[in-house]
Amino acid sequence: MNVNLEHLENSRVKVTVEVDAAKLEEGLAHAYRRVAKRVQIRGFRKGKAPRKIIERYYGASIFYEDALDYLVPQLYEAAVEQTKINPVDQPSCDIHKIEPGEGLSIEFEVDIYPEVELGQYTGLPVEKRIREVTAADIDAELEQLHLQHGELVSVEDRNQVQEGDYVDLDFKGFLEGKPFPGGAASGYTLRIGSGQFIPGFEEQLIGLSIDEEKEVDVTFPEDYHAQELAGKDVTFVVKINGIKKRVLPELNDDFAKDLGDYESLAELKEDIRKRLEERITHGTKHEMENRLIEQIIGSSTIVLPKSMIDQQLDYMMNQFETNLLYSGMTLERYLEHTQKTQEELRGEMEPEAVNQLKRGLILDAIAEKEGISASDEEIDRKIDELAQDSPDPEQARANMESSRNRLANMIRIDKTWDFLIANAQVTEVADEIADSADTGTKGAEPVDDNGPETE
Amino acid sequence: MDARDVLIRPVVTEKSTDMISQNKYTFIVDMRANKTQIKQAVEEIFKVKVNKVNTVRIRGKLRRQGRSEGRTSDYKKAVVTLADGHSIELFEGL
Repeated sequence: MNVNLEHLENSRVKVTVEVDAAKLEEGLAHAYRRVAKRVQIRGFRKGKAPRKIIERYYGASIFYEDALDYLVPQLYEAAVEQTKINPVDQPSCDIHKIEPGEGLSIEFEVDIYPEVELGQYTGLPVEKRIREVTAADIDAELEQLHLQHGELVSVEDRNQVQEGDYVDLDFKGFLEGKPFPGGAASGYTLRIGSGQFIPGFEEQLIGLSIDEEKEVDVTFPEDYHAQELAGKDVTFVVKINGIKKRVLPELNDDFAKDLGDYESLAELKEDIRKRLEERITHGTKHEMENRLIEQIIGSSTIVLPKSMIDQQLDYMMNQFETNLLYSGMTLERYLEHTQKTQEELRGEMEPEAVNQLKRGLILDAIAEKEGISASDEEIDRKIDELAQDSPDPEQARANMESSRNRLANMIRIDKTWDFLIANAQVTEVADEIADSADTGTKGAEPVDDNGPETE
Repeated sequence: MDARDVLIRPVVTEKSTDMISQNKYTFIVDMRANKTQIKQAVEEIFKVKVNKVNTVRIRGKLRRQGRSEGRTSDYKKAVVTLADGHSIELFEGL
């Protein structure tokens, strides 16, 4: 086998493979066994006609397709191994010559992992924002928890709907006297004043009493997402089934005990403090990582092959669609709503895709260069750590054992981040204004896409 | 009878191709040809030595198309056994 490697632009390579007649013959022989099964020749049962007879009837080229199906993947694999290229995509393939008795010559073209020319990645300046958790932070968090644990209780002392009530109602909507899709529900719980329904609807419920029916006239806003309803006048027949109020539990040690393993309110607060501190630490770290990697991306040269970007975009589009589905949307509806085509959305995502790919490649390159890797003990420790957090530790452990490689990669990336921060010029800055919760999520999101996540 | 009038065409079927490994070649021959004539014809055309010839007369099969009855033609088949070391490249350039 004769392999020739040629570098093209944009991390693309051309690999020419030539094999001799014997290898081609192997492929043809293989193809004969498959072809024979499907050709019918008079005087022979299917699959029994000798090769020469088939050749005489159909010409030798009938075997080529099957022979190539057999040979090409084999040759490609061998060529990849021999040239030590690292493809990111399926190759395109061009048959130059196929001649029984002479040999076969194939040309592959494929995108490979791009060369990363690292810029400077140590001693980079970066700000570390320091923020203390204040009593006010803890109180705000506690109030959130408190609100979440409020209970809906039927109102006994009055019969009329007031602002802020939770109303259990049935409604049926009519557009020009006819019901329309999505316009009816029963047993729906609506908070008056939540602005969840179209403007005017909730206000008209105030003052209604239980079991009372009323016709409510409203106009859909002009920019309503369902086009057939936008700007239309509709009538809802509404019936109130019940009125409820949110009753908050008292903030005391009992409340803390209800929430979990806390003995007292003070203990709960202490735990909130710990969580907040952790969140801030994570947030600060992610932020520093982002600043650092941005600088490195800026000073490094990577030419990404198109197929790699496409793959990343496919992945991101998929993620995006899944996220939409979680929130009860479909991609079609979203596109309609935002007046965008799928291509436009893809186009908008491209810079982010490029950025994410570069981050990954750069981290990889740095890890490679600095000899950062994950040891077996580290993986074991990580598995222990992650298994502890899972509801079924044994199952989780088994799952993770089977994906040690991914974990190893994750640890490697984590260690690389640590390396970058350890080797950066960190200046500490006090930060009073920024909302801790915000920095936490903002920094976390893009980073997560870099390393594989555990399920 | 001319040699090329004796041999009409070779028989190419699963069975006949299998028999080639026993050095036996099968032909459809003229109904009137006898074993000697077949032997001479094969020897002349393919330049080989024939050991023996077995012949068989195949009666045409009954065929009917609606009301009209008929039969396919009768023919004579000959299995020619060549002497060791001789062979015929039957399938070349037919």
